[in-house]
Amino acid sequence: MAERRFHKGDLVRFRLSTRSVQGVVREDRGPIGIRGRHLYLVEFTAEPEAESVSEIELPADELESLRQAVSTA
Amino acid sequence: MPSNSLIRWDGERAEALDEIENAHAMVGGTERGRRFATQQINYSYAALLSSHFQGFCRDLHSECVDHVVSIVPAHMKGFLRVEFIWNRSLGKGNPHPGAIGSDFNRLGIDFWTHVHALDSRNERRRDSLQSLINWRNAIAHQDFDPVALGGTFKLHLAKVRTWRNTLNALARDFDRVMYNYLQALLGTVPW
Repeated sequence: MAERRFHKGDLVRFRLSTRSVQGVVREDRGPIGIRGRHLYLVEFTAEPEAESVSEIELPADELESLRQAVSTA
Repeated sequence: MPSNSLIRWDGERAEALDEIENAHAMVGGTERGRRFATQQINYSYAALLSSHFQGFCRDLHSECVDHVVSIVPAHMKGFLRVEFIWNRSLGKGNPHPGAIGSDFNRLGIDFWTHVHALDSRNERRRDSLQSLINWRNAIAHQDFDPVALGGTFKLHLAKVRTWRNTLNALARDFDRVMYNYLQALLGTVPW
């Protein structure tokens, strides 16, 4: 099955420990992950009131697109 | 088999650097204007070389993190990924030897010790990398201090080519060091 692709600016959700966190794709890091899978640099705010943003690099299969939810909101 | 990061270094990154080589060759003539133009191209070449080597090191670090995280329980993967790239030097600064060492050391390896052990020539290559970074900073800030640049502010194509050969060798050995380390850590070959 073809790997799902994300783009800069995409709104996504992912698991962080026991929480579900929302973030924005900042960069497609290219096919540098295990077996050539793409990794994506995602920027997110760890806590709602946090002043600084955090970053994580994740493969597509650990990301859920929120584009549909945003467009219908 | 090389890492995906090394494949990229030898592929698209090498092609981008070759384009600068071609630009240098296309500036014809023997007049003073040509010497000025080629000097600017040499500066661009050195800056781009530093930039792509930073990209390679950052790629290799990310690739290694992906492998390390693959063996931990699912609920721990996320925050480990965050921690490994938090405040990563290679994500915001030059690929100077100290930055490379501090980022890879966070994966549990004494990075430069292993790189030096793999090939004794790597100590001199590390010094050469620092020399490139000194030039890159001088070019970026237009602050050419001959004392810091080996007594000159002229950058010749041969010098940049030497740096490129040096970085090719370092890239291969970085790949090999992390291959050996991850194989021992994970119990399986990473790439």
